[in-house]
Amino acid sequence: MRMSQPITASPRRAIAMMCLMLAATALFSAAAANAQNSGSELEDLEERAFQTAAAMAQPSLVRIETVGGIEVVDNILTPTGPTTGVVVSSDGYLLSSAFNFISRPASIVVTTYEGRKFPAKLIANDHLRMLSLLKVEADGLIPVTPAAEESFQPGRWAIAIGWTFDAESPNISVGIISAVRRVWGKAIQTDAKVSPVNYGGPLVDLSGYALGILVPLSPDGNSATSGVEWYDSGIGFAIPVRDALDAAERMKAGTDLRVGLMGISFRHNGSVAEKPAIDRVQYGSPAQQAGLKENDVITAVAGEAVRRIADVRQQMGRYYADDEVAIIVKRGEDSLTVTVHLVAELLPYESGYLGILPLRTSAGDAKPGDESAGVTIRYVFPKSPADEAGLQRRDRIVQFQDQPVKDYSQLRDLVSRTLPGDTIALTVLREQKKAAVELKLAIIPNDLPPDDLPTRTSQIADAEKPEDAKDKQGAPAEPTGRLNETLPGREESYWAYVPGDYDPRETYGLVVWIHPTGDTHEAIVLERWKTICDTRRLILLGPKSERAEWSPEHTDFVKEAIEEIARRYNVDPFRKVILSYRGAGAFAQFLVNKEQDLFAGVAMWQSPLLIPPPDHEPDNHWQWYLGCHEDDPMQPLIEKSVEKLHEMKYPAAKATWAGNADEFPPGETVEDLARWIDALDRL
Amino acid sequence: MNTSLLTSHDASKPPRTLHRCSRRAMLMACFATVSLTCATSAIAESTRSTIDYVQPRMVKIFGSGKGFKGFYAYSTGFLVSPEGHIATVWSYVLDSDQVTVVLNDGRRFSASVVGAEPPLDLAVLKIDAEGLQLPYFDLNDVEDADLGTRVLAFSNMFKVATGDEPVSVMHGVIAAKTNLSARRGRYETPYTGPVYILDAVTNNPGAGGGVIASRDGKLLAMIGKELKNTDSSTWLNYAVPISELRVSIDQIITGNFDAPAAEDDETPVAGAQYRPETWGMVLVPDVVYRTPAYIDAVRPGTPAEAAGLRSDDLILFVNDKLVSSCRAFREAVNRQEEGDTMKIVVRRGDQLVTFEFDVRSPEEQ
Repeated sequence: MRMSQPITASPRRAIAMMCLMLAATALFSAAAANAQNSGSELEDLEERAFQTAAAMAQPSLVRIETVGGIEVVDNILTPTGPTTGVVVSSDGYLLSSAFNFISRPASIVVTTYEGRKFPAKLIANDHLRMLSLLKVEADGLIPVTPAAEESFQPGRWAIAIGWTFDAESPNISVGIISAVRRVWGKAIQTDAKVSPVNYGGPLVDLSGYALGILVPLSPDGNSATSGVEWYDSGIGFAIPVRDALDAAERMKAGTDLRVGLMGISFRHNGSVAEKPAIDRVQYGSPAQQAGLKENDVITAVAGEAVRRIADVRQQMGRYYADDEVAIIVKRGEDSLTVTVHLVAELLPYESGYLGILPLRTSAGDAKPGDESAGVTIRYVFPKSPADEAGLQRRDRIVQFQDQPVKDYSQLRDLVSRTLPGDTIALTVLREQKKAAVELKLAIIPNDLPPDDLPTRTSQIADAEKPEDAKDKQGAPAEPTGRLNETLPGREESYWAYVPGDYDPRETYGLVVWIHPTGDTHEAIVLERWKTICDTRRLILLGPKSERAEWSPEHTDFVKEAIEEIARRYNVDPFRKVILSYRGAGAFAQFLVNKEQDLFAGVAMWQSPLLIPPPDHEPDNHWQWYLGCHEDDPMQPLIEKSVEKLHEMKYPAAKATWAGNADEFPPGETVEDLARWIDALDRL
Repeated sequence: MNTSLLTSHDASKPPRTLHRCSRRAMLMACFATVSLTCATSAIAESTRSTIDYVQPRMVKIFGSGKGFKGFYAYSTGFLVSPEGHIATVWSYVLDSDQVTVVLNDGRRFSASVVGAEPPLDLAVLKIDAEGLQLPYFDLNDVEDADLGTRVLAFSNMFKVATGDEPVSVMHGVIAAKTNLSARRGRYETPYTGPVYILDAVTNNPGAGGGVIASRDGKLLAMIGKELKNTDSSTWLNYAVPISELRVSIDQIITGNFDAPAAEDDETPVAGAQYRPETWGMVLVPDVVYRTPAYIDAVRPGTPAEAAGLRSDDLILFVNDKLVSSCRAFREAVNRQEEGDTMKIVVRRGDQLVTFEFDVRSPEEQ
């Protein structure tokens, strides 16, 4: 090094600098030489720390071996080798990863650190954090020591420990904490290698104290095998030890912990970056019970402010079923705080069922306080709750729980908002005497109504008709019989059939016939339905699309035709049915989804479900009828459609017929179908 | 050279201040650099020198297998003799008339297979290295490593190294030591002896025949072939300790197969001179194969009592070596020599406590 003429510093100072520099160089050489010989000090210290940490953690490890069980779950070969667990209490509670038990092993054997072997019992699983709690009848075990708060920081050393390779000592993988509060707030992320060789083991800090329990996790999946595909990838997860210990405490009761659900959805195609405005609140869900409504914007969850859909998921992702979470929403200008009691399962809505048909002439006639208020029973379904409680024809239901019953539509609303299985109290008027009846609601049966379901006509013959029923002079002179009409300003026309003895004081069911493309089948449909319409009190409406296939553009035409008939005749809103055949089913389903208040029942011949219906709710309370020839190639699909509807808890009847497959419409089924329509106002 | 080029060059130059810095500033900078190097190189230096030592001893091997779907035609080897012997894994890569070996400096050689030991998945090749004075690993200078030991892995994985490029280096730790035989049937491998499980993803195409070295340049193990754990369908990163291979390599090189197949590595201890009781430590009864080394009692008036050892202390380390059982502790104590200091680390509750004992003959104590 040349040392001449420093420009700014004095020579003396420069010399001092050089001395310093030389000293530093000497120091460096010594350090380098030392490093050459024995490895650097820091690396040695770290290496020692890894070993010490593993040794410290070891007494709290257990080695788990399983016997029996299924081999493949979710297309993954289940692990059969030893797996790892962690002691959480000295009296024998152990935590492990739920992944280690997906094969549902017949027997679990645990080896403790001291080499003692115990049979273990699987107490419960945590379906949110993917942990399993085991119990062995042992004492004096060494529970895991939770790490200090400052260890939970990204960048800190993290050692993943399993006890699977060697019976003598554990296996370790060294990394750092990559992130905290990952996978919707549940997990620590580490770049230590996490895989079936250490799932269930601890992630520890450099002191050997536990940071968490290693589990496979995925932000996208919720099964015990989700995230296994990331093994050894540098993306590994551990459930923070405090959360795991809390979960263990709760699981000691022996019941599984489940993901807590509240029953709201955001717009399906909405990005998680958007503001959390509620799109839908599921009927009967915790969110609905807490009073949340559509368009509410969530602003805080459990005291933490949220701005985006992702924030809400992040906060909610940590809760179990049965947890209570305080949620603040903005509704218009107001801010509301509600407490939501989370559940494990959001049950589809299902209506309660009494098992009666109402006498229709009384519907809508009663005034408040009127003697005739209430709903008179015209028919009691055999073996229904009403039958078993001893209700009879002509009984009048005047009170439902503590609510006076005014009319059918009010009673229907009350029944439909009561769940099957609930017990309710009715007050019934029988021969001027009040009687209290208790009954347990059932579910609406899927079977077709019994063959002997009385027709309205037969009941009139039964002399139950009100005295003034023959007084028809006030009736408007609407045409009856077969009609052919067009709507003003529309090209399309429709035909209809109104029973010849139409009485405006009675209510009539409406069957809207959507013909298959190219053939209205007008003559044959009329022939088959005419007498039935007369006896079952039905009006038949046949909108026509002769030139083109049915398309969404026909929606308004069909709707207007229905409204036109309903305006002129006394149509019962609870017995409006859309009936289609083969390909026309697609349009019928479109129409039902689009105009959800237009129909009470959907009947389809030879057509499966093509559009999934909306969730079953009191406001979408359709009943379904799917009919099919037994040899029709559509049969399996239709079978599946009915199953799907049953899954969604819609009442859905399935009818099959034999004989000539080409016969249309199938003769006897018209009779069945009409009886089904006649029972659509059942409660 | 146009202006825009100049501008772009500027970006890659050192900071502007250096251009017109004074000599004093320069000195300061030198000083700073040196002290910085001093601090940081302490981490890197031994790793770097180990790499410098190991790389010239590694070779890239190219053979058959090319063209078959799912098969690759390359692997790794390491020089084990001054005559040009190369140890590697036995695989179909060698199943060829033409095996090519490429040295660290890019020199290419045709190699012949001298011999193989299929039960060890081992093969030895030879290149004509007469008079070239190629560097090689001395198989008598190998080491065993413990759990948690930091290691470097060298291999021709994915043949990313071409020509005179050195093979790829990964770092990791010894994740476990185990016996493949204990898990026989779970792995489709003829080799069933002891292995190191590595906390590094070494299980890659072409990595077989690579080596694991400690940070101070000691050869530890040879990377095995790709192997899947059929239990969990996960890949296994393992390496076979050189101590398992050394005798066979020697036998293949010398052609002398009379030597014992395995020598006893354990140097017999001359007499059971020292025992835990020498210092007054009474261990719990050694009932199972690996009873942890818990202290059952401390005899009064002994060095153990004076040092403060207590019953229920769990002995974890002796002179920084992990002892996993009573048996291992007794062996470790037995290896002590007069005049040494024996350092014992125990776990007491959640704490680690260190004790030191002078090693003197029992009579003196």
